[in-house]
Amino acid sequence: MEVGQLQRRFLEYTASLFNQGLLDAQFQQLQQLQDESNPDFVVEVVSLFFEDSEKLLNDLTIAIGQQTVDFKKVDAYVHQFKGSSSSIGAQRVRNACIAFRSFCEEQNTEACMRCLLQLKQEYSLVKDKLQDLFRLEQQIVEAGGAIPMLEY
Amino acid sequence: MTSQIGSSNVKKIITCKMTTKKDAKALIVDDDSMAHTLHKHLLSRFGFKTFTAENGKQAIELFRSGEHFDLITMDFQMPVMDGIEATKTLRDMGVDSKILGVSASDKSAVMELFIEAGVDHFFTKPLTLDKLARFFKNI
Repeated sequence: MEVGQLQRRFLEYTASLFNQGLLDAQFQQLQQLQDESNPDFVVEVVSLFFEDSEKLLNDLTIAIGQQTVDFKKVDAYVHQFKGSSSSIGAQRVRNACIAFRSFCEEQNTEACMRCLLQLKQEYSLVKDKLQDLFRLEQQIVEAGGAIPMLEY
Repeated sequence: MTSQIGSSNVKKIITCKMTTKKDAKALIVDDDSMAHTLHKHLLSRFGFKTFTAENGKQAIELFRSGEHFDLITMDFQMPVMDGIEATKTLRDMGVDSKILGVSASDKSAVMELFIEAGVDHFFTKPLTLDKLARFFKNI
């Protein structure tokens, strides 16, 4: 596929992620920080997000599965997840964290379990989509093109 | 919504009063490695040389060892020593660096605690170029 077509596909795909609410303006902030001296900045930050998230989901699964749930601990994990998802603009993950925290406050174990499931689903979705986006980016670079920027 | 085909980002340093002198230094105090990466890149855009500390205690130890920083970004929740205690201690030590309190929490109580402790400004995370530009414009 020629570079122009790849770039258009990249822009359309990026736009769809914003339209679906998966990403918000914070992701564009990250893209603005990427430059010739930091060409892999977005991938670097998002990779850190993936690492942190997987650990947090694991910790949350263990914490919610306890006989007596420590809601303070669960809330702390979700707070951390909310922070990291906000940092990369993963809007739906962040919103799932906000809902989750309200049930932590109510100390509602069943609702927290449902929230954890929702959080895992939202995370999995944004992870897959971002990995697809980075693959498209890679194709553009390999074809000798520059990564286009979407502007709202 | 528009697009720019074939654009590339050339690093632009954003003019900032605090970094018109050479070697302006910023300390990022946060236990989160993502925050380190993000804040480093943000602050370097304004011309800061950046350093990191994992918690409030490490930040204090840096100052006690004779280091000085023009700007500190101070996270709220950290192990060992949180941002509130660290800010109070630094101000008690006579540290006059600009301190930005940051937190993922948007509760006004967090902002009030930070202001009482002595920060110059408070931002909810994530920090952005726009937020920092507004802060630097007003100092």
